[in-house]
Amino acid sequence: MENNNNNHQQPPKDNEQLKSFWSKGMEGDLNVKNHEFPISRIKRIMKFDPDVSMIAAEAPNLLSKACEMFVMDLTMRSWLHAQESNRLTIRKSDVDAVVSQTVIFDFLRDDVPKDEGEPVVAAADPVDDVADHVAVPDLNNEELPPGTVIGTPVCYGLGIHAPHPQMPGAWTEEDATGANGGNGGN
Amino acid sequence: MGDSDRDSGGGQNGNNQNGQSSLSPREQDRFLPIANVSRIMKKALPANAKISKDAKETMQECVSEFISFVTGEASDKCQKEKRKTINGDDLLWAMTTLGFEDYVEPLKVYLQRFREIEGERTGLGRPQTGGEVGEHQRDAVGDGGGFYGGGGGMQYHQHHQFLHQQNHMYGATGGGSDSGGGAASGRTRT
Repeated sequence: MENNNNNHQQPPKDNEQLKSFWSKGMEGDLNVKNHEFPISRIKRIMKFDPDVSMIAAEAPNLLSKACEMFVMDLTMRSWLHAQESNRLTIRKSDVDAVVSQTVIFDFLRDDVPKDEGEPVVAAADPVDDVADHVAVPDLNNEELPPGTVIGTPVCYGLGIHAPHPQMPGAWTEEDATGANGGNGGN
Repeated sequence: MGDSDRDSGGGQNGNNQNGQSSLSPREQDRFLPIANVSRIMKKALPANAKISKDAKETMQECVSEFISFVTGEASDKCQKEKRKTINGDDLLWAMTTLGFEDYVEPLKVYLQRFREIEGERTGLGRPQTGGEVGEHQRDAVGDGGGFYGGGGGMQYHQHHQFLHQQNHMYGATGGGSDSGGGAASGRTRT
């Protein structure tokens, strides 16, 4: 009980434990040929990002080892959380709790509180998409330039299309696909 | 488009079946195998510890997100420096930037050893030649993909950066958008 309290109240101690684990425990696991995770799968996941064109051979191997450290890190913290409730079984709620409490795991919070994540995405994407593709303030959309004829001037989308005759198709497709991509991310 | 839809659908199904473990083949490709994840988790725990199925599945999702997170940051760095190939040092830099500096020292040792072994292979000649040919072909394919992917990425690059500046949570979202942009770009050019 006291140990649990100490662990809970003294985060620095956790950090020290983790660091000593990395420096000592990982020594035996630094065998270059011993891969716990399939390299091909890691490479495939890396390539989900369209910006990623070429990957050096060392990269997925290194990332495989990093993933081991990440999994053990998150698992040990989850175990500490389960212990605080005197449980011997790690539950999903333990992992979720560690994610919400630990700064370096901020990037995982999209998945944890799903209800909160989606509204943020919905709110952010349209504005950013508009800003990226057309630097046209809303005011200008309402006051269309002379010579530009549009059936429904109030229509926001059409206003965006007008200045870029060749873009409409691409814009529509990219916007739709972007939305899907965003959903995929969630 | 089709692939994107299927992926999204798969994701939704996965979410709906929280209690069940049936993952569609495509969805399985997005995660590391649960058996490997489970084994690594156990290495970090005392013998009497147990892990629930849904905790393992959550860990699968988290580690895939970790790969994408680190890769995205490393990729941004490569683009700024006008390099095409992500290497080990880029990943180490990315992890430091993203708050995982505790991982970096052991990984440097690992990377050194990996490079030593690669160097030994280079000395052998024929096996390395074969490897190089294979890698070259893969790179060529990668180049092709990069053309379209890069195009899409550039259009969304500002988007991605903006989200990164907001906070890490948005970073993940930006990554998703990048994927969408890349796909759209490819289809448009086709």
